[in-house]
Amino acid sequence: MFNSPSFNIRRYIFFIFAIFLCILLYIVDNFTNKAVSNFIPNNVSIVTKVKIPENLLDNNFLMLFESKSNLLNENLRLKNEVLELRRLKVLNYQLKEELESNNQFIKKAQFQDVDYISSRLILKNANDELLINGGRNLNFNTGDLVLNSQYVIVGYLEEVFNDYSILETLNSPNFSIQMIDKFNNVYTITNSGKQIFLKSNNDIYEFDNEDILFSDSILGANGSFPFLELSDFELTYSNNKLSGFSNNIYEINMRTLLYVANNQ
Amino acid sequence: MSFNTQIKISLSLISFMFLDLFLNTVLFNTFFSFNLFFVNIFLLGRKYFSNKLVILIMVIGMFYESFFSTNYIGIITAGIFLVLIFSNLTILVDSKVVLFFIFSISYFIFYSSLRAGVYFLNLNLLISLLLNFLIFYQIDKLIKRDV
Repeated sequence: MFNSPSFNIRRYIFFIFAIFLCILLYIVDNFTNKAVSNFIPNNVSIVTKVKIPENLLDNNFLMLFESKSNLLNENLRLKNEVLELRRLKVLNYQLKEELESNNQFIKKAQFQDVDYISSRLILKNANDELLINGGRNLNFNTGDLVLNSQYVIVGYLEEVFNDYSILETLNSPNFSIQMIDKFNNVYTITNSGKQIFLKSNNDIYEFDNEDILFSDSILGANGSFPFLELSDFELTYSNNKLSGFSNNIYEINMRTLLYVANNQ
Repeated sequence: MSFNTQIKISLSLISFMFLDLFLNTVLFNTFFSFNLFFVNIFLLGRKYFSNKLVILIMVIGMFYESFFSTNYIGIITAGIFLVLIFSNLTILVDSKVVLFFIFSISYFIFYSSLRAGVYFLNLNLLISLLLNFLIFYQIDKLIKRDV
């Protein structure tokens, strides 16, 4: 069963040293409050710098064959036109979608003391966190609430970097947010990884099943925005406490237009 | 290991890193995820294991952690080194069961370093493990072993 080469610990000695070095870096990073790991993202704007060149999108490379023959030239020109038309069609569709989304949002949004900055999902990173466009360059702050086109909270900014931010949504296992209802009852909403849990923070004497939960400035939010309804949860009321769970998780994809609520 | 090979390895790792994230972002589902970066590391440990890889892996690991993870730096790189050691151990034993067993352990080590928490062990992880093992196994069969 065992063939050559035979096991030799010396073969791995540099790798083991490297693991110790990594652990050392981890400890340093831990004690410096992520100063080491955030050094590059805080100083380099990767999102704005990595862009597909326009000439690649226009497919100008094909035009190099222009002088070969008229036929070939015509063929290429038509191909380019088709590509351009397809690109414009996609762009047109995206803009229509964005316009529709913006219109829906404007109808419902309140514009007092709050700026809304539109953003999109860039990437789901290795930790299953969502990276969205815009960071300190757009004055985003940690804790800023993020809404969708229906003017409903989808999450909040967990960390803000130079030109991108980490969005915590209901899908994130670390998601935790405090909400308030019309009777001033405060609830904490968390995620277990599979389900959303709701738990009242104070004793509850009065509540309405159809009530919508809102964020509030007394809970540290930068405005009053609607979140889920109490009817979205399977509620249990005992000992003056209200608790519940829900499977209603809002999915976000790369085409979802997001709005970051930013204080003016 | 020549300088050219090191360049090729780093380019393949960086491209698989981006491909991996791009695929998982575009597919965006709760059932499985492609982990081509991990598969690439595992293959690297089996085919091109060398002490000269240490600095290269260190740099790429730090790059990965700086841009694509919000964990404390060092943990994922340490996970990559452990995966490389484990994958190199698989060349000592010519058995598919042992190969799968070590692949699974490496997979769990790598992803526990990424998604620290009690909820990282779920159906998604198990389906992804099988899917990525199949990808790895097919590529491994295609590449002739040169040890």
